[in-house]
Amino acid sequence: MAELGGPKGPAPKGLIALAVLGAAVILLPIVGLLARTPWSRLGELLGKPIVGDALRLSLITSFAAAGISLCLGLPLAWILSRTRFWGRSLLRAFVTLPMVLPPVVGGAALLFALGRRGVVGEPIYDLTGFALPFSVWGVILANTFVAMPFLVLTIEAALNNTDHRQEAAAATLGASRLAVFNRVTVPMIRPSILAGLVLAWARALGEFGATITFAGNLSGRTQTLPLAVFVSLEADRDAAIAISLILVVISVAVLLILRNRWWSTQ
Amino acid sequence: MSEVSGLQASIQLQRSNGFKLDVELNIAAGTTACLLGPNGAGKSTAVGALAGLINIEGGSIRLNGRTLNDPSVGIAIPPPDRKIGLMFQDYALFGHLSVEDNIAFGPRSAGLSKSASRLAAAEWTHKFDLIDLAGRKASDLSGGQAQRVAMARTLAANPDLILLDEPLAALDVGTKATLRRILSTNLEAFDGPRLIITHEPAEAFLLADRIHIMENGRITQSGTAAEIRRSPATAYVGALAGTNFLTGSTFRGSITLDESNVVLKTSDTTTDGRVIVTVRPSALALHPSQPDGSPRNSWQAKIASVENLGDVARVYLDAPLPLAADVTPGSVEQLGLSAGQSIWVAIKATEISVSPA
Repeated sequence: MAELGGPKGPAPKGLIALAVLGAAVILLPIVGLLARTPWSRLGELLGKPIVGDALRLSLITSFAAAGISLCLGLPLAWILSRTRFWGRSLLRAFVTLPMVLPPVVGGAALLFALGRRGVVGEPIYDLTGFALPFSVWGVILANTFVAMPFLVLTIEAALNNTDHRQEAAAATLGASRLAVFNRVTVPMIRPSILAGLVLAWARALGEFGATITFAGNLSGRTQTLPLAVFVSLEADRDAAIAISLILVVISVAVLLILRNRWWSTQ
Repeated sequence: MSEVSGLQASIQLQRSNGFKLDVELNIAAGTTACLLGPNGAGKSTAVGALAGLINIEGGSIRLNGRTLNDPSVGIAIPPPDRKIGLMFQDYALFGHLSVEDNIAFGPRSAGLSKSASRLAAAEWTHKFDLIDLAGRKASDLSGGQAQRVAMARTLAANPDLILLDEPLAALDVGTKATLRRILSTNLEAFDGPRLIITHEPAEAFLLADRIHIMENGRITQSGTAAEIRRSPATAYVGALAGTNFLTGSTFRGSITLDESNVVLKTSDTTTDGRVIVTVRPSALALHPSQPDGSPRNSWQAKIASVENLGDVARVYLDAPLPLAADVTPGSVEQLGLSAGQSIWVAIKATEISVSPA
């Protein structure tokens, strides 16, 4: 292609060497995983109860977390994008905090807030006898905590980039603000909502630190796929590999779904 | 509440960048007003204030006797309750909806069910010749089709006032003329007050009953096209109002005019049919006697008036063609130009531009 660009000619060898090393850091572990996979026993390994239980629990909790993230995150993104109030920037900063916060710290924070002796958790427990930690609900909450920011940020960026005139036109045609949101705004940003949903779901599926801290590691109850990998590495190496493989396949699928968003076709 | 019909608006506000808007607009029902001004004059801001997208800080907006916005008494009706139709510059159609559902959007917002709103839309789909396009996605239309859908959508919401923000700006030159005619017919179909925003003098002169010239957030002159052309109040108005508009038919470079038997020659020999002829005032040369050489257009005219605009003087010519000519104050003196005098007019064929009407 005849394009105007930077200087042409062979790339410097030093840069190539570092780039190859960089790619290797990312590719080698995957290759190692595939090389150690006992392909002939894969069916049998995937049939093990620890795998089945973890897979079922992971699917339930990650979809639930993605669903809750959408229900709460979409309005939150809208508020951040479309309204002006004191402390808005601060709120946005806090909403994105779980993206950079070590998940273990997130799990500990959840315990202090919602644990049996937590600020909010204690009165709830005293009143109803219900405690979030070490339950499926705990897993879902921990997942939502780490996943929702991805959805909020994706959708807020989409909202900030939309053409406001369509919303204004809808308003002059008699639509209330809620009707504009439902009938114009949401359909307009549908692709970004889907992308945010996939991102949040993938993040929830892979969650480890906050889950193990807040919900524990109870087989069949709070032991999700990543936790099962961690446990199996000690007890049953081959099972750990099989579970890891499931997660790799899912991750690749997520990349394929989002490819138009992230990968340029060049 | 008074029983006055039409729009009475006094819009005062200041934008965050310090831009001040102070505009008074009165539009009677069944008439078309036009806000004409350069980009950045505040026209779109004024429209946004009327539609309720921006609240005014001073003044008031009344439509058919109902107060829509009056900060002195704390009234600010939100856009959905104003019954003001706003057609955006590039139409802002809902790309995810079909043509039919775009048009049904207003009736649906008024509380009709999906089927009832589609029924209400059908009338407008029919009126604007959109039946064949009814099922098509609005993102999939040509400029002309989009304009018709936008107009139908605006009118289907049953507004009391319609605002059209640069309705022809998004179109290419070829379709502009056709769509201006269609727009003009459609405007007649609406019996409330109508306001068009444009920076194109030709559009204003052809579409509006009354023109309001807007510069720097203020209206500098209001009047009919003829009034504004006769006595421009500012240099900007002078420059744009001075542009001579004529209508006629052209064939291979010969233009037969509607209002005179003078035949104009243009170097544009490819355009044929009905045209708008525009001639810049500075393109007219005035001579005391028949000019030498062979200017393609020359005739003898009577001077109606001479006006000093500072560094130029504008000479208004009378029969056989009412044109304005800009000359230097020096040549006014030299040629002794004054009202009632006869003078020779010459225009080069390259200075006569035509565009399909």
